[in-house]
Amino acid sequence: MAIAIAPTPILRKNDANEFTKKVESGLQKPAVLVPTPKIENARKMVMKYVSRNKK
Amino acid sequence: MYPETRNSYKNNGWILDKLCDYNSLNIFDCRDDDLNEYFKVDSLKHKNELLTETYVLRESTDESCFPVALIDLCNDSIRRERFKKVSDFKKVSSEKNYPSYPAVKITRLGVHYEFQHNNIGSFLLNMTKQFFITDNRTGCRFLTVDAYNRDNILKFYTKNDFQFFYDKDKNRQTRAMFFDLKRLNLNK
Repeated sequence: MAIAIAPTPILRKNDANEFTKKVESGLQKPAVLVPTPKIENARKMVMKYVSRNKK
Repeated sequence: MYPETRNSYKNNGWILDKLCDYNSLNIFDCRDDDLNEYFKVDSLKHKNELLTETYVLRESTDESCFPVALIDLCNDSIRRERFKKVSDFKKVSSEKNYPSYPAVKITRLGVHYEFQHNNIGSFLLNMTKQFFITDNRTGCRFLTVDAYNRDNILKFYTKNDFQFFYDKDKNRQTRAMFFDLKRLNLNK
């Protein structure tokens, strides 16, 4: 059996305050999706791998 | 009842969709014993208990549906203890203060070892983020993850804009992290 899925913590007192601060400051800087420049090359690797393993 | 594409998401030659054939996991290997064990043994048990669902990332033209990466998800929430005094409430936020936020938890994420270090993990996280801000059935504000407490794993999630809830768990086996999906919506 793999490691059990840990529950997300219930935030109390300072932890709850810190969380709220993090969320509020995060909202001041919109997130962008992380660039993935190697993904097209990865797709080609998968195609090659799949066709090689079909034979 | 639902369109077939409801749980399927296409992006740049890749498809992320719900895993149907659990036998296909026999060929999945991410060179991590715990992750392999989870996907090959536990994920179907969790699915049968209606606890989690596994999604597979595959190349869109591949008819064999080779599982390049897997992500396992369950419903979650971020709960905060209710404030006892009005003054405490005001200290924290001028906005409405919700005691609980709906979230989706990434219970496991793994990339097949042949294709690691090729941005596939980040690409899968990007797709998952977009998945949960597009045409949702219910509200979902955060992605959460119970990340293995290893430098490379924590670096991966930090790079993908996840934040730690706190430092209390820094000596535990896993660390709780979150990503606020609303930050993506701000770009719209």
